[in-house]
Amino acid sequence: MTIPPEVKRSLSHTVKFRSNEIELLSSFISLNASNSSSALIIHGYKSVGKTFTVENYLTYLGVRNSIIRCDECVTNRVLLQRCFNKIKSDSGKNNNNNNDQIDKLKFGKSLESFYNFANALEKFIENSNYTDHHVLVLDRFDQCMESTNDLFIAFLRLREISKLDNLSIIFIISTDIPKEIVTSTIPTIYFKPYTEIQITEILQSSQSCLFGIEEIDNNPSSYEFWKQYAKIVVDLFFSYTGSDLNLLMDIIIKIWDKFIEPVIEGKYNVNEFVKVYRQGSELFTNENVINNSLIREYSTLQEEKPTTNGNVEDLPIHSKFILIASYLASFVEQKDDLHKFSKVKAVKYKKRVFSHKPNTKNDIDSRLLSPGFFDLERMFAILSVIYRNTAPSLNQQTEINLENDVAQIEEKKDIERAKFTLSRNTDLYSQVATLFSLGLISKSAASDILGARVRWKCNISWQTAEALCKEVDFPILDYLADEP
Amino acid sequence: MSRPKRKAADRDGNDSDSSDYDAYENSFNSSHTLTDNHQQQFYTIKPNVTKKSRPDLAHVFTESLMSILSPRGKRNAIRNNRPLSSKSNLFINLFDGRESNDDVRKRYELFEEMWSQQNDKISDILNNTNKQLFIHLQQFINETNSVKYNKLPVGFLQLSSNTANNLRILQEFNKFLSSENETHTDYDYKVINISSKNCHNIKATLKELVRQVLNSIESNYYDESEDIKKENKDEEDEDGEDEEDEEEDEEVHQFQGINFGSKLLYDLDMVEEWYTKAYKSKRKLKFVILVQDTNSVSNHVLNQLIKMLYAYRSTLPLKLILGLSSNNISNWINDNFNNEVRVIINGFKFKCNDNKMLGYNILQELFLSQSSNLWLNFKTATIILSRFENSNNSIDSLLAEIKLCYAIHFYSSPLSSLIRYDTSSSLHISGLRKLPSFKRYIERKVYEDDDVSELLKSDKTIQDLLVEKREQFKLYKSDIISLITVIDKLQSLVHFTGRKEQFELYKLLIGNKLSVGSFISDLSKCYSDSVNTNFKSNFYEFRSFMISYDTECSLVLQLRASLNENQATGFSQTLAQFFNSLGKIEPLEEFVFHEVFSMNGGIITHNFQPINEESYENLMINLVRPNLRSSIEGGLDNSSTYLKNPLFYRHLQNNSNKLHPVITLLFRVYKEAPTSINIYDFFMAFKQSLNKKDIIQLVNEHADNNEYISSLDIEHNEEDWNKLAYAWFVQNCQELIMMGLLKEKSKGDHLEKVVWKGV
Repeated sequence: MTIPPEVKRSLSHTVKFRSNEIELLSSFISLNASNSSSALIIHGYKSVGKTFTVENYLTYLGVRNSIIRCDECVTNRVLLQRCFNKIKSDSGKNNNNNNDQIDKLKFGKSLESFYNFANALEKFIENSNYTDHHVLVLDRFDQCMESTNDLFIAFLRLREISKLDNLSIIFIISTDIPKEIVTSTIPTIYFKPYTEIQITEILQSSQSCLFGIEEIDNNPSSYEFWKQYAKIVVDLFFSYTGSDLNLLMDIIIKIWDKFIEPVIEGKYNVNEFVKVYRQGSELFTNENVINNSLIREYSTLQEEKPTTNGNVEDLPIHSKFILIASYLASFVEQKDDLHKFSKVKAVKYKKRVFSHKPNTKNDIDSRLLSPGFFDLERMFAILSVIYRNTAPSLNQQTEINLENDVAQIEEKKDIERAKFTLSRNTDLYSQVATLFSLGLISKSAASDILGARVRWKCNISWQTAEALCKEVDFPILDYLADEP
Repeated sequence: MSRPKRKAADRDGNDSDSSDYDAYENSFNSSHTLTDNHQQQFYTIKPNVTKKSRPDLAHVFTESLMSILSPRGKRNAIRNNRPLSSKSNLFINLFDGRESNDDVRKRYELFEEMWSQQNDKISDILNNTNKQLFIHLQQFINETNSVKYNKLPVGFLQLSSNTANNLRILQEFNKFLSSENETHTDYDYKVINISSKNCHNIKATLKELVRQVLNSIESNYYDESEDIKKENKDEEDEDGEDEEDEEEDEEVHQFQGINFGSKLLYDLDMVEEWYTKAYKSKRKLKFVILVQDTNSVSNHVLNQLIKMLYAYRSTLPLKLILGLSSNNISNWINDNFNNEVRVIINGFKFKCNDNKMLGYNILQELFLSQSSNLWLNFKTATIILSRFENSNNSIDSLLAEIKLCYAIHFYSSPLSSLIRYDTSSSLHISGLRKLPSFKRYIERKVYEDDDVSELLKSDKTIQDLLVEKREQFKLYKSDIISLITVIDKLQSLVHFTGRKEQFELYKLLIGNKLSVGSFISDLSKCYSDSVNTNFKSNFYEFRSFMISYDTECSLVLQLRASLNENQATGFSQTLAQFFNSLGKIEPLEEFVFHEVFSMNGGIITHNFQPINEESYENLMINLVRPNLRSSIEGGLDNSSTYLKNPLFYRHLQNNSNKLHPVITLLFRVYKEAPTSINIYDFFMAFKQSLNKKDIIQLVNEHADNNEYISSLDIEHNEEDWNKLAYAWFVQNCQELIMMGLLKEKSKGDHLEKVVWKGV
C-alpha cells in the first residue's frame, strides 16, 4: 500500500529534489506493518535533507512514529530509555501517566541492557494490545556519544529476539555503514549530495531573511533581492560548504544584516542589488565568515581584534622566562646545551657534515620540527642561565655613590648573579603548575606529576615565543641559531 | 603565632654578624639579650626559661596553637573561658617576658585596629572592581534567547592568567548572583559551577550538572535545619540504592513529587522535566552554567557539553559562561572548537579587570593615601613589589603578604605600640636607644660635635624626641605622597614609555634610589621642547594642576613658585632643578625611629647582604614562599643547621660524638647516583661511605647501657656490620621515600629519584 499520488505531489513540493528517495521510502515503509521492512538505513552526507525527508514522509504517511536524536544521548542506556519512553508516549496507549511505579514493576526498573529494553517493549505492547504500525527513527545514530555499533546489530535483531512485529526502525547515519552489519541485507537508501543548482533553488524557494521594514518586505522586489542574494552566496561559498545547507544558511544569516544596511538606510533601492553588492563585496571576503570564531564584546558589540601572541601578555616576568626556557629546552637539542648555555667556550662544537645524506633532521630549522620533550631539571638549568644573563632586575645599572667602591660592588654583584637561581623557592613550582593548567606547557602521558619519568614539552608557537621574547627583551635567536 | 620566630631560627645563619639589625633584634626580640647567636635563643627556649621570667609562655603557646588547630566550637570554648583582658594572650610578653600585660594588650589592639582599617579598604576595592562586569553578565543572563539566530548564547569571560585571581572573581560572581536572588524578585538564578575536575568525560560533567541543579532546588524548599536532615536521609537513600542497583549509575525515580520514571543521573531530561512540570514560581528561572577553568577542560568534552546544552536551548533557560584565560578568544575558539560547535554558538566576550592594575591600586590605597597608618620600609616594599611583578601576580597572595607584615610587626616588636602611645617605661626607652636609626643619629651628632649626653642619659629627652619624630613622620609621609603625586602627574601628561607605578615611585623615593637608572633623565627628556611637540600645552596643564594641588611639601611648593615665575621656556630647567632636589630627600632608613613607624616584615639574618633587589629576603617572604628545595637539601646535606649544633654540645657537655645522622650520609650517596638506582649498588656505596672506625668507637661507648648493642661485634664480625648498615640503609631509604625523594620501582630492584633528579 503506497501513499496516494496527491499526497506524494504535495510532499515533493515540500521536499525538493528527493522524489526518488521518497519512492524508495514508500516501498519500504508503509502504513501496514507486514508490508514494511523491519529496518532501513538512510545514509548520506550531513545536511542533505535525510531527516527532513523522513520526517515529512512519515507525517504525510500518517504512521505513528518516534524520532530519537541519538547525538543528544550521552550513553546507550539513555538512548534505550528515550526510545522506550518515546514509543510509549507516541503510541497513544499510555493514558495513565501517573502510575510509573506500576510500569516499573511491569517493565523492569531500568533499561540496563538491550535485552531489558526488548523485554520491556514486548511487555508493553502485549499489555496494551498495541498493534498499529510504529516507526522508530534513530536520527544520527552514528553520532551518539558512545559507540553504537553493537547496538546497531541488536536493533537489527529486535524482531528475531522478540515478538515485536509492528515496529520498523529507520537508522539515519552519515558515516560509513559499520562493518558489523555490512554483510546483513538491510535495505539502504543513499541520499546524494545536492548539486549547486539544487542548493540555489532550495534556498531561493523560501525567503528566510527579511528586511524588518514592512514596506520593503511587502514589495515583491524584496523576494527578487533575496533570490539574487542567495545565488551570490551559493556561488561564492559552494566550493567551501559543499552541499551542507546548514553552513550555507549560517553564512547567509551572518552576512545579511550588514549587507542590507545600505537598503535600510535608504541609500539604495531594493531593486539595485548589484549596487548593494558592490558596496558590501568585502563582507564576503572576510575570513570570519568562514571560520565562525568571531566574538563580540558584550557591552560594546565591538568585534575582537586579532592578536599574535597567545595568552602570555599578563603573565608575571618569571613565568615568561619559564616559557622561554621551556621553548629553548624543547627546540634546542640536549647535546648542544653545553655549547649554548654554558660559559665554557672550550667545548668543541662539531657540526657533522652529512654530505651523502643531504636531508636529515639536523638540516631543518628546529623551529619547524615538533617540540621535543625535556626534563624539568634541564629546563630549570636553562632558566637559571637565561634569567641570569638577561633579566632586567639582575642587570640594572649600579648605583653611583661616591662613598662606595664601584668596582668592588660590581664584583660582589657578579658573584651574586652567578649564584642567583630562580629555583630556590616554591613560587617557581606554582608557576610551572599554572602554566601547565593554562596549557602553555604540557607533559607526557597522564602520569604522576612528581614522578621521574614525567617529561615536559613546550606548547607555544614560534610566533608567541617571538612576541614574548620581544616583550622581555630576550635575544632568543642567539640561542637557537646554529653557528657555522 | 609562635611560628614566625621558630622559622626565623630555621633560616638563620650560624655565624653572628653584629650588624645593627642584630643588635636591634637582640635588644628586645629575644629571650636572651646577651647572646649573639640567633640559634641559641630559639633552640633553648624550653629548657632554660624559668617559669618566673615568663609565666604563661607554655600556656600561651598551647593555647594559640589550639586556637589555630581546633575546630570552631572548641576555639570558642577556649575564648569564652578566658577573661577578656587576656585576649591579647595571642601575643607574648616581649623584652624577655618583662613587658607588661598592658603593653601587650595595647599592641594587640593596635594590630587589630590598624589591620581592620586596611582590611576595610581592601574589601571596598575588591567589591567594586568587578561590579560593571557582573552587571553586564547579569544582563546577558537575563536576556531571553534570541529566536532569530536560534543559537546557544555563550559568554566568554576573559580572565587573567592567574588561576587564584580567576577563582576569586568567579566566587564573587557567585556571591553577586545569590545576593541578587535575594533582593530582586524578577529572576531566580541557579548557578551551576563546573570545574575541570568534573570533566573527565561528558557523563561525569552532566552528572555534576544535574546534581547541582537538584541540590539547589532542594535547598529552596527546606530550611537549613531540615536541609541537614534531608542530606543525611539522602545519603542513606543513596546507599540503599547502591545496594539494590549494584551499578555505578544511580537513578532518580522521584523528586519533589515529580515522577521521573527511571532517569539516569546524567540525563538532562530530568532537569527539563522538572522545569516544565514542577517549576511554578513567577520568577523567571535562569540556569547559569559556569565553567570555571575552561583551559583545563578537555576540548572534546567541552564540545560535547555545548552540543548537549544546545539541544536544550529552547526548552531550558540556559546560559553558558566559560571562564577563560586567554587574551584572544577568537584564536582560542579556532584552536578548541570544531566547526559544528562554532556554528551553533552565539558568543559574547566579557572582559574582567586587569588584576595587575588592581594590585597596584590596592597598594596605593593602603600605603599612599593620607589615611595610611604604617608604612613599609624600602626592603619590604621591594620584596612585595618584585614578587607581585615577577613571580606571583595573585591578589590574594599580595594581601596575605601585607597582612603578615602587620602581624609580624606587632607581634615581634614591642615598640610597635609607640606609633600611637607615649611611654615612660624604661624598657621601651632602652629599646628605642638600641634602634639602629637612633644609633646612626647619635653618630651623626657626635660627628657634628653636638652634645649627645642628654639623649643617652635622660629618658625624658627620648620621650620628647619620640613625640617630635612622630609628628615629623606625619609631615614626611605627606611630603613623600605629594612628591609621588607630582611625579605621577608629570609622567601621565606626556607619552612616556618608562612609566612607573605610584607604589614603585614610593619605593624609590623612600630608598632615595630615584636617581639610579634612567627614569629621571628619560622623563626630563620628554619635557624638553625639542622632543615634545605638545610642550606648551603640557606646561599649562601641569601648571594649572600644580596651582590647584594642595600640599605643604616644600619641594613641591618651590616647584610651584618657580612655575609661576617662569614661562614655558624655562620649564625644563625648572624641572631639572626639581629632580635634582629630589636627591636630597631623607631616605626612610635615616629617619630616626623609623622602625616604629614602618614595617620591616620580620628579620632574618643572612650571611651575605644581597645587592640584587630580587634576592632580598625577610621573614615575611620566607613564610609565604619558603625556599623549599634549598631548605630540604641543605638540611639533608648539612644537619648542623638543625641538629647537633654547638648549642647541643654545650647541653650534652660531651664533644665526642661527631657522627652525622645516617640520613645525611645516605643523601650524599643519593646525590651522586643516577636517576635510576640499583638497590644493591646503592647499599654498597652507602656502606662504603660509613666511617666504620667512628661507629665502632660510638658502639663501644654505648655498649654498657644497651644489651643489644653490646651483643654486636661489628669490629670483627662482618655479618654484624652488614646487618647494622643494612638496617640503617633500609630505614633511611624509607625516610627518603616518605619525603618524596625516592620511589621504589615496580620490579623492586631499583629505586628511582622522584622530585629532583639533579640533572
